[in-house]
Amino acid sequence: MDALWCLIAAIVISAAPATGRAEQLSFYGTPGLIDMPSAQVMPDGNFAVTSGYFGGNLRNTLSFQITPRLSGAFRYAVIDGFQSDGATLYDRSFDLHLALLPEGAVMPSVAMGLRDFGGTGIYSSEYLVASKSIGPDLTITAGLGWGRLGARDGFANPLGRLSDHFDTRPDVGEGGIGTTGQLDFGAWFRGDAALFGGVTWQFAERATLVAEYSSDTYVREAERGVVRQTSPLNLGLRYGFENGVDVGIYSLYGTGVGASLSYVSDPARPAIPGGREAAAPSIMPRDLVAGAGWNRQDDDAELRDVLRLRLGAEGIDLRGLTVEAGTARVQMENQRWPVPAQALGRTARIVANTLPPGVRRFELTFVTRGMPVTMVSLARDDLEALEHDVDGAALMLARAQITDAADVPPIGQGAALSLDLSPYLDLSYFDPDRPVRADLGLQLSVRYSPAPGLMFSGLLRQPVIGNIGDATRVSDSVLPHVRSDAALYATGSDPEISQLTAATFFRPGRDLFGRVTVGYLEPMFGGLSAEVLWRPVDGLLALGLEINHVWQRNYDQGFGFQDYEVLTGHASAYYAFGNGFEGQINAGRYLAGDYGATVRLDRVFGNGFRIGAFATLTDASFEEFGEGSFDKGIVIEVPLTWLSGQPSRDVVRQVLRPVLRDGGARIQVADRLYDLTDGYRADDLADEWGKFWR
Amino acid sequence: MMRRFFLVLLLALTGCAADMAPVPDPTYAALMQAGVPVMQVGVEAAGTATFARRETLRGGIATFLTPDGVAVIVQDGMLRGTRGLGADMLASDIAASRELVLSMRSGRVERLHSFLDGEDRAAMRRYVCDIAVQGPRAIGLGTLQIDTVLLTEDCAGSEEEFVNYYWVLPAARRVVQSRQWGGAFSGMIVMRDVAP
Repeated sequence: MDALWCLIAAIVISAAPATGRAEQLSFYGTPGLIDMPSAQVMPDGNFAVTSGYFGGNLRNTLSFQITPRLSGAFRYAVIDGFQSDGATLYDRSFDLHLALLPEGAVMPSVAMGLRDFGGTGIYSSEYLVASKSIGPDLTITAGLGWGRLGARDGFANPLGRLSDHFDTRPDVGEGGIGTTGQLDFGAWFRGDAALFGGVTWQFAERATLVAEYSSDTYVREAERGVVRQTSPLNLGLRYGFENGVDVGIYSLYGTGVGASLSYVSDPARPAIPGGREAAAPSIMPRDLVAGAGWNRQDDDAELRDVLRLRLGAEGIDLRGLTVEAGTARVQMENQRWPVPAQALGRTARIVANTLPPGVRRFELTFVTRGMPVTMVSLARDDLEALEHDVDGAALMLARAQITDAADVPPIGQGAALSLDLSPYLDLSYFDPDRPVRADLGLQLSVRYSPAPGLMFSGLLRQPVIGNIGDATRVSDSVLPHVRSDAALYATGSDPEISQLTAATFFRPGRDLFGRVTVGYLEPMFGGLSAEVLWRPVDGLLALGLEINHVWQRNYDQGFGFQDYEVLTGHASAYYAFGNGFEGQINAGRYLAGDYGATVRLDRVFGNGFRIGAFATLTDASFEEFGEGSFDKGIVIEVPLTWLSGQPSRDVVRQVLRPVLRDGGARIQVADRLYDLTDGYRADDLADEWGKFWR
Repeated sequence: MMRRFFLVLLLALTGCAADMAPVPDPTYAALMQAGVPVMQVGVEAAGTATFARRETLRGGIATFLTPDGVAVIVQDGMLRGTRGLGADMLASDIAASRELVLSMRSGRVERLHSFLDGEDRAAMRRYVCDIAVQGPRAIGLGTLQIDTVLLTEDCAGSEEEFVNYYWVLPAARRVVQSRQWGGAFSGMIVMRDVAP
């Protein structure tokens, strides 16, 4: 389930097609004509995958409408014979597109954008573009381009009137591999400019004709004989299928024929909104509950057993029950529900259907890894009154008291053991020799918890088949090889100990969480890891501190260590900006001993679908870091529930890095406290409260 | 429109025995033993039809479970909510409709639905509905022929329109057969009492 393209295929298969697909995606996978951009935007939150091919140029693009006005794209291009020695060029690039003005009755929509603003610079260009629809079927686009888009009949830069600075564009990508990946902002909007434009005509319900005048002369491709142009005009025909897939065929520059395939999906609209899992038990009349056999006994033993069984059938483990003075205190651990509010709502109904009628208040505490996290107190009368109320979700939330559970005493439990044998798929991207490599095998996961808050866990992997270890490129990194020897860790066919740890989890105080982990933390490092997190039950800010002393493990992932050891750790700040935006800053010392900080920004949908980007700058210089200059990437997380409509806490997660090098690398530890507590604090519970009654 | 509807209803309600899930939900299996009231339920868009058994009756609101764990929540035969169909109707306020339908009167009313959306939020929708008495209809319930009154409820909201059909048994003041809208995602749901 690790595979990005499998993930995309699964999204394509299971998602409802996005609505309002008026936007047109160009060969660059972003709103536009064919090679030229337009001022259009995708609907907010939409996510698009595009592949386009013509004359030796393959462009694969992921693009995402980050806000209603701002979109970003990541592209992996393959250009046959582009390199000076005739070799194929594999190129990664990032784009940004910002809508400046929406379309009015008379005024066109206006947008500006940056293509390839941080890559090797082959697509480096900027534009200012306007689009206007004329009637329902026709859209006209005209724009001004710089860089690559300022090549055909380029004229003196109009911005030169503001400053001489804009008159000439410094050569980008000429500094060799060492400069790649640095932001090229020194070149933005500089040098000659040129005009481009085009027309789209939607002549049938699903079919569109596109014509454009391209200002891109493909100078470097022409020099290397990859692309030959005899005309600036491109023509295309696009057809949008009902399932959300668009195909296009094109005539390009008078000499080439191209094709594109794209798919737009809306993460806010899973195939089955809200899921299709079986109904929760509905609340029974209280007098029927009173008559149940276990409520006519003197002691609570049978009551506890019934509650344990009933909760267990719903994937919720009962960790403790006390009943006194009309209040029931229930501790439970959610094992099944991706949305904690749903686990809470099911627990509340089962408790109401089980406990004697004199119990008027339920204090339900979420427990994870033995730590009581959050307590939600509900009145039984409210549950009964609001179950079928049209505004029942909002009213129930308003009447629930949500508090930190640090004071809730942990209740002892029997030892718990879980074993899980499953296949795994590991992927490695963007090796120029083979852009996607994969390892397939079997893994055994063991978890044993002898007491609350104490957890032994292991992950043993047996590779079966794969080619990650076949990579022949030897790391040329001048930094300690903390990540760049990944291929060496993937060679060999013996069982690998991916993880083997003992961990303890505790609540040092109100709103505080603690963790200490020791052992083989991850495939490449082992040692000691300690963390404390401050995450108030009501609040948008959380702060964490983590320190690790780790040793690099042997390539065989056995018990041995290499000589390299490092003290690494970070101070972290997490902030929920609202509207689904979450930010995170980690500052500290990384695995290679470099000091710096990582900034990450995510957009999270209410259903748990997450798309984020991160970048790390450290005191390792761009030269020391090597190709890419600094660590950066994109994170995509899709809840399995989003794909299947069935409840699961599993998440399909992919981190896409243009290059994985040794600078800015962070230790991977299982069960970081922010992740463990995520979803269980008041704001997260409230955001997904719609599932309380589901 | 009406012809197609009757065809669908007929197909849905007669095809039900063949569509029984082989392994019923455990709660449903227990209800089979308990001899609780039974209702035939069909979801037109999914082409499914089955017997649903009453799990709970509290405050006049009944929850019926199908063998695959879908819950249909009704009050006097009028739909109040669903669970397990996707984008479920979490709850509704149909008090004004219910009063007119059960007393077999025409008129204009408002109803409210709250649906679970794709981001797990409860989204409230308001509809204005015209209820009209269509006249007496004899229908078959099992081997019985019974005389009912057919009412339609023609609703329009800001985003959706739908028409509900109710066959009301005058003596019992309850809907014994119906075709009601479960939401934009689940579509029309057909229900019929099993011999009262």
